[in-house]
Amino acid sequence: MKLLRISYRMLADELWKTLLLMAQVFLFVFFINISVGILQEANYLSRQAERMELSDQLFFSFHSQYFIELTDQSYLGNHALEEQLDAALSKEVPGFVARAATAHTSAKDAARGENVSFHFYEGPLLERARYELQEGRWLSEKSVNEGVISADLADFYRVGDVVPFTFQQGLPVQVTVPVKIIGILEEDERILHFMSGGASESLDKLFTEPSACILVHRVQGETGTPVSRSTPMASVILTDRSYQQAPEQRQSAEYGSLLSVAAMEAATNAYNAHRVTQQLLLAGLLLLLAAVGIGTNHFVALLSREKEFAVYYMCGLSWRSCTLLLTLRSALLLGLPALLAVALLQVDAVLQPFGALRIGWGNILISVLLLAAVYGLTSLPLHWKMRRMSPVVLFHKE
Amino acid sequence: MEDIIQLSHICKTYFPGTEQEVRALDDVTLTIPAGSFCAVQGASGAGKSTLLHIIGLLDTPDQGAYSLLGRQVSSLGDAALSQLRNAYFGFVLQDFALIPGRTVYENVAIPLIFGDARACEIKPRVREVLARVGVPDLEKRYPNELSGGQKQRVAIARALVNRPQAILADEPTGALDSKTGREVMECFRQVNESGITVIIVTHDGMVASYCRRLLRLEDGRLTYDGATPAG
Repeated sequence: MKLLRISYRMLADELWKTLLLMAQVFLFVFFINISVGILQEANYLSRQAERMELSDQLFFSFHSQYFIELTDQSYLGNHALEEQLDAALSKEVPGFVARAATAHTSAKDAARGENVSFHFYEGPLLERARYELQEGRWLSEKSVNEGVISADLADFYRVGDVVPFTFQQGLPVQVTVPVKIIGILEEDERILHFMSGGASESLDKLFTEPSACILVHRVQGETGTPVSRSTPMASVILTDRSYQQAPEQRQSAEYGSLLSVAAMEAATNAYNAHRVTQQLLLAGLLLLLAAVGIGTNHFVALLSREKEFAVYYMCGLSWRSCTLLLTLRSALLLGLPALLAVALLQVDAVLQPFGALRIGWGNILISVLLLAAVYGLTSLPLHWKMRRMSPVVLFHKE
Repeated sequence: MEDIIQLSHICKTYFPGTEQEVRALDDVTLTIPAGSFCAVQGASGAGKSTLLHIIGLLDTPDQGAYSLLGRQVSSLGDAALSQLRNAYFGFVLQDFALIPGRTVYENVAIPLIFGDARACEIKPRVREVLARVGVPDLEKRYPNELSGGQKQRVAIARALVNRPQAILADEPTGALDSKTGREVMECFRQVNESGITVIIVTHDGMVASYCRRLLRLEDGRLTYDGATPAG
């Protein structure tokens, strides 16, 4: 502790140099974490697509307004596909349709616009939606008025709770349905996104982090009317490989888009590779600058403070502790900005929970290992010099 | 009176086996009782500073035995020697050896920080020792704001703060004018009168005249060990 205080003081004596080096380390940690975050995200999305066996599927997204006109306030049927695909093909579509609706738990919530999105999982989508749950179980064919909630709703509901939801939009009268919570999605789990408009060209559009949503199979009111007939927000259609040759001219952002998941994956990877290369180059440059800066700083600190070390040695600090003092000083120089960068990244991740950046132990570990390598390399000349420089030599210089 | 320092056949050679080989100490044997006031004199290169460094555990002898308060220290490692150095010795050097970026208070507190003193003890002990050497109002000043005499008093305060058994001074008046040098020597005399052993390496006859015992070195050998002319 004593040595830590002195090493801190030594850094404070050279405030501007220290701040400059710390800024370099900070930026390095920031950029390297973003790069690793992008790679992790891309890897996660690919694994998610693979897990759900989507790699040879087509993803079809509608512009929501156009979709609503097409479907005339009803859930999507094959006739919507006929508008987008060749009729001959669409009739044989063995894929599945996903729909969404909104509901609220009270009139007050509705007035505040605090609605919950209901995402309907039926048929093959129900079977293939292999999401990670932190608690409870996934839906089944028998799941009526049962739901799996997104992680953010876990602050309000628990598994086993029965929550009354009121569906209003698109229905002639309000319908209130009690829904039993049977599962909670894992914290960072992403789900198939129900496109609310525009074209989709990358995997991060296909999968998004769910916010205030409930995944359900079937929801029925007292009259037995499927509540899911409420206004569809948009749609995801997954078809099998026979539709990979769908006409490209139909890929219009205005009306919707049609892409294979594999094409989206390739586009995502290409885009990420470009971003990651840029970030890694920047991080590498900063790391190099920081390494040169810290190495020089180490050495100059040792030479310019020879007398100070002699005084410490004279006053009872062992030569080994003198070396440790310099070592701690450098560790602070690296460690403080690195911690600050990680903390800021965490804050950023909390403030933008659905942003691309993901901070995990993996990227922190990579940053620590790289910094440790820089620290080790820059410390070598220091320890070499300390070993050669007997403390008594310092007194003979007096 | 108890002997605090016993050196027996101490030898020290720098750069052994090379052309620059220097026999700094050659078979030095001496005993220093507690409360002594000794001057070490000799020509430049006679081994005075080396003797002081070995006594103060800053350096180790190549041969011979060193007993500090009855304990053999010749074979101890760096950490153990550092602990003893902190507990038993205070050092005063010609150029004061104050750290420029630290206040007087921080400079004086260094031996306490490295020693066993509790945090709450540091402030009163630093203030007490600054008052004792006659510079009670300087604790917030930096070394570059002090005169030579004040710097040396602060250095003496630092040497005294850990209540050592002995003060080892290497040319303590070398950078001072004669009047300030006498004031500093008066300070050492008071320290010695409080029972602390004082060993001073010096060329200066005035400084030696304050001491009661004189050790003279020539080419690393102890050639005189007796009372000073004034002593």
